[in-house]
Amino acid sequence: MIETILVADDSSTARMIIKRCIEIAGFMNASFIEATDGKEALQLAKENKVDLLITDLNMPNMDGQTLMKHVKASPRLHDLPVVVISSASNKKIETELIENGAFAVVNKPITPASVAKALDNLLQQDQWG
Amino acid sequence: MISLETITERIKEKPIPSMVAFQILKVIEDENHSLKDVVQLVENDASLTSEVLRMANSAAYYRGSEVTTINRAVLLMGEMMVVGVAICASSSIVYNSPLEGYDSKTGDMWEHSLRSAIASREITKFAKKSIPPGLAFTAGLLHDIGKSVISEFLVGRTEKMTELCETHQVHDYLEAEQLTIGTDHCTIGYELAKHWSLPEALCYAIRDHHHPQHASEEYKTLTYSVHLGDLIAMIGGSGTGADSLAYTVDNAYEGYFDITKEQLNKVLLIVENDFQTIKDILMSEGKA
Repeated sequence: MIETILVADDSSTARMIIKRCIEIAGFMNASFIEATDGKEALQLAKENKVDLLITDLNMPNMDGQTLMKHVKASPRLHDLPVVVISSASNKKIETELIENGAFAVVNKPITPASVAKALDNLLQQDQWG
Repeated sequence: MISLETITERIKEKPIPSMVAFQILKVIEDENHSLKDVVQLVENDASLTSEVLRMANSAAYYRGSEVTTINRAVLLMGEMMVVGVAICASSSIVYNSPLEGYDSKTGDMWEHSLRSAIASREITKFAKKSIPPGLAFTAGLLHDIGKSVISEFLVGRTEKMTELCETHQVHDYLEAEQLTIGTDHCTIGYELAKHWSLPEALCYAIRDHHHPQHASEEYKTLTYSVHLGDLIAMIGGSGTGADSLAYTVDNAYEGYFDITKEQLNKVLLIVENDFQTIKDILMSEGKA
């Protein structure tokens, strides 16, 4: 069950497009928490009960990769699934991100279909795991 | 609210894209026109001639032998596609400027318009009442021209407008525009289209593309093509910033098209494929 999604991106327009994609993908009842950089996202993840973190890679203060490292190193947040939005459609980078703990990598431009695929996979894993 | 006079001044300042494009449009409006009339107009414009030949010889149209005459190129591409090429090639102020009021970067408008144009053209294949695919392509290309006028008046208000949408205080982004500046990109696009003396069909498709149910019966199929083409471009990840995916689909399109969800998904793939082909051609020439 995905109830609360933390969206981290320094662009408010990008955050809004991510949210619209998630809603169109069928997750109409999800509620969102927004962060403008990795540092804020980490803080919000610690303070709230979050079911999923969607983060951009390039952000000020703390980038998406560093954010993910902190999340995966935290005993409390270790199991929080992280979906990374990447502007590089590069298999090597994608593999690296997955190896570092990303549940899925969604390439830009983000679409309802690409979000649906990532979230459906997450729900399936949740069901079986 | 922004005064109508201020916006009208901005409309008058927008340079008319290409006289040739509109001359061709006028010629082909006459059902009895000949291909020779169109060819002559293209040949009178050296840069359009080279652009049309380049497109005709691109991977999108290549049929095994080189196209060397405008006559063959127009036959191959269709008259309305030639109009589309002429408009895009000569309207960098509309297509290659950032829409700051939409938090949209340089190139987004061009990409979204081209994807919408391709999608609108593909949708016509499923229309119950036949319309020229090239007309839908051109309407798709032009549907958002109003944004290039009102964008500057929305600067600094984008977040507030987004909030209006997210808190469901408005039905869609068009209503947020109306509430914020007293008009919207469809109304202003229509005024700009009239200022450019575009054919009536294109003016009304621009005006009604978010509310196609308001179009007259005569232009309903065209307007729904653009309505769907616009949404398909956005669903495929190509919008113009803050208003991306902030509109709803008018399901009455089913009365005008025999198209299934699977076929709509196929159109999405065709748009991506055709767009990349055209983009590659333009990029290779350093034009995009």
